[in-house]
Amino acid sequence: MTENCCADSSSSNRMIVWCAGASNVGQITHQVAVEMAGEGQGRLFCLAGIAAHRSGFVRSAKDAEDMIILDGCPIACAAKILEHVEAPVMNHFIVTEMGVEKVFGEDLKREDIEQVKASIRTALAATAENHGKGAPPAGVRNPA
Amino acid sequence: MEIKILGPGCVKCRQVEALVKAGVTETGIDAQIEHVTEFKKIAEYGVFGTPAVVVDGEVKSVGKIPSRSDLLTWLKQ
Repeated sequence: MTENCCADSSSSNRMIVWCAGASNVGQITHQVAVEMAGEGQGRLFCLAGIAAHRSGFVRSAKDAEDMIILDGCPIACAAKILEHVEAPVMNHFIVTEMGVEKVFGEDLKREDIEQVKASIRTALAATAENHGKGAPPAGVRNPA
Repeated sequence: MEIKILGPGCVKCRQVEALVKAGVTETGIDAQIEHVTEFKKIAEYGVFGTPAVVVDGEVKSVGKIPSRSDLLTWLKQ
């Protein structure tokens, strides 16, 4: 929840949700989400609250103007949760489709995190540039 | 019926409050209206932005001024 009532900057109104799964790619979504929020690319929002069908979370997701959805792998739990509550799925990214292999029990690699962030930034910029002009840019599903 | 408007008190929040009060008057329902301005209490509802409208514990609208028709629908349920 913003402290700035009726905030109107585009980044502050962009919701970031992420799967936060147990594998490296799931944990990369968490790290990337936190860092992107810290860089002013959007605001973190609680996917668990949506999954729990808490009305404030569900309504916020349904009414979101802009969103980044981060999933670690093609199981796509974050996107599925949004679909389940009939919220829009937009700007959906999957880490394994950015060249990071899914493994368990390994420390996160800084180069993987930076690679994913760079891919997302590039895709979002291309989405903004190509808005309404045909096929979505590589790396992003359901561009906003 | 219990209606809460969530928002620290900006122009839009006050517009929503006025809209709600007008809707309650128009429908003639028995409702308690509260404007929640305290950040910690607003955060308990899990809303991404304000203003927000809560009717009998259910968040109906987030981050915008609801339409009059939507509001009347909620009040008549």
